[in-house]
Amino acid sequence: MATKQAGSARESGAVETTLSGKTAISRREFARRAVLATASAAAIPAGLLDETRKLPGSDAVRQNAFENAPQRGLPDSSQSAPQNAAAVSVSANEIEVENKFDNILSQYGSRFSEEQKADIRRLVGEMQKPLDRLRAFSLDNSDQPATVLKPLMDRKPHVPDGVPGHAQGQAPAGASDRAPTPRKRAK
Amino acid sequence: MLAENILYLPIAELAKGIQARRLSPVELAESYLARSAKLGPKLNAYVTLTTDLALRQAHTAEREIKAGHYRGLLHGIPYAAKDLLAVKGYPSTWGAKPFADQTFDFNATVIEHLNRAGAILLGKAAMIELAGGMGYRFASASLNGATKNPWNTSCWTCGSSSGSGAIVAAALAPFAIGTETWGSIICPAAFCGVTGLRPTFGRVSRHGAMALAYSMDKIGPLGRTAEDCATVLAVIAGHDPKDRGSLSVDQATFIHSPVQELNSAPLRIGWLTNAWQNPDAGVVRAVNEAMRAMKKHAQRVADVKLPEGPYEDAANVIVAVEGASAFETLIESGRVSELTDPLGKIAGYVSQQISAGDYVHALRVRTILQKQVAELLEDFDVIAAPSLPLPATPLDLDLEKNLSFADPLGGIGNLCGLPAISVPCGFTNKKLPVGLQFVARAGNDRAVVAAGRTFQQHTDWHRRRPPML
Repeated sequence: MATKQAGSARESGAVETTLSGKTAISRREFARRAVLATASAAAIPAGLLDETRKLPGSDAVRQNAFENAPQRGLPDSSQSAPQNAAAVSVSANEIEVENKFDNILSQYGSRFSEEQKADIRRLVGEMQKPLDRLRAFSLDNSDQPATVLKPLMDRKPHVPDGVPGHAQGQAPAGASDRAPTPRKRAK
Repeated sequence: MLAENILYLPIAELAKGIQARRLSPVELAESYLARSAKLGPKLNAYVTLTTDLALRQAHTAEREIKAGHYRGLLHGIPYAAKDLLAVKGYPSTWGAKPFADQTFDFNATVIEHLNRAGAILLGKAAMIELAGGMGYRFASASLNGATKNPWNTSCWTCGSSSGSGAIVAAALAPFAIGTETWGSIICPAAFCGVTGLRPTFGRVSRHGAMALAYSMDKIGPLGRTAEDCATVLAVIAGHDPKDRGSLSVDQATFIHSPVQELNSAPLRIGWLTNAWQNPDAGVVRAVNEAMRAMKKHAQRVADVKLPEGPYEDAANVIVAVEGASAFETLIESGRVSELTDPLGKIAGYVSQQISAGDYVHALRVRTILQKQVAELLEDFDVIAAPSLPLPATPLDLDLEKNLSFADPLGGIGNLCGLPAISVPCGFTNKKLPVGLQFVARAGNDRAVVAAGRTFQQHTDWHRRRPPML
């Protein structure tokens, strides 16, 4: 589920350097672009971060930051980001796409044909737009995820010592609330 | 063998015959088995026919009913189950080559419920490999090839409950069990001209079912009528501690009483104006006509719009991440390459790259959407829209290029676990079925059943039969 680390290649042939297709870049070229993009990204947000840098951590700044934050939900289209910030965003997206693609190839590259690699590169790129839209939907700290953890409560009834037929804490038949029994496969 | 017009009867009418002993469960099972053996392969509808089991169950049912032990409406009624439900001693292939020899030594909870009701399992229905969990580009993404639509065998049934849709449409069984993570009951029901009910998330236990997306998978029936689907849901619904997503006893239980529904108040229906972009003209014509019919019997019908937001994106992220996790072993072992579909062989690797942060973000967006939808449904019992914007598609269509469109209602409905029903509501010029969909607030499965039932009381689209058969 989580992003896999590029360094954890498991296959001997995982070091792919050249990619096919129009969007193909070499690993070296990718690294060069990444460095450039990182450098520009480091420079450009400085202006945007000026306000918060004045009094880091102060209540005044925090309040200001919250007031200026977009309302929960869709991004405010009336706020136009600086052009250079948009450029960084595009670069950041490209880097993210290339990183993901690179991760896949470094781990599993030897499994794919050139056609499949091109397809994977396309799919990774196509996946980025939905992620961008999703990330642009701002959330409040209090917006909880819709995941439900059902705590596994200990249902074992307290049975006093000495009650015949019951070891202490033994659950009655049918009271099991354990995790689902693993599937047993018989081939 | 029983005549075709009997095999096309809804459960309610078959049950009357069985209870009155005018209809033999054995003869009924034998007739459906013979029809399934004859037509099933032509449609690629089944993976496995469970003939021995079916005949055993039919003889038991007949014996019990003769002895006066009638268990209820499903006693002696045959059915098919999607091949991702575990049936003890029979293969459960999940529609995928890597699992072609897989068997389980227990029954899925749904199968157990149906066994207790005295229903008769005819076979395991064909499906898209892994229920489409790794993505698919072609209708042929299945262990036994593309399932053909009984209304036009050059067209597809939709997926992933492909066989379930074909089986009901071709009267190979009176009902079938399907599953839906996103569209897999509603779409086959619409393409095949049958009724499909997607219950509220958590209402039907998924124990013993293949998992695709843990927080979105649902199990539900496809049948001839809304009433039939409700009858089946009443049997398969219920709390199950073996499914972590199962609702509590009081929330999961579904009691169906046709009489109660007849006495219920007319429905307040919200007509969705932004469900689909550029729907097919034949679909629009049929659905508009259907809504005109519904207006006569509804308390009110008003236009309504879905909330706007990245809800489909959230649903996509959740399905992709949970699917990649569910099939992690398959992906990492490389056996995913054994899948049939070219997209299925690679998409899992891409899904694995979605970050935990994006996944949790999607889950938090989901919470906001749940509240918005609850507010939207305060004024309506159901919201209605075409089930799909187009009719059944050709078998060889590149689905990635040509069947890829925005589906906000499907995204929102499945993201929030809302119940839905698709009922047949007409045909296009090419004589392909069109579906009308009703969606209700979570837990109000009764409302979608009532909407479907109301529509079917005043129309006869659900009684039409495919001409080729």
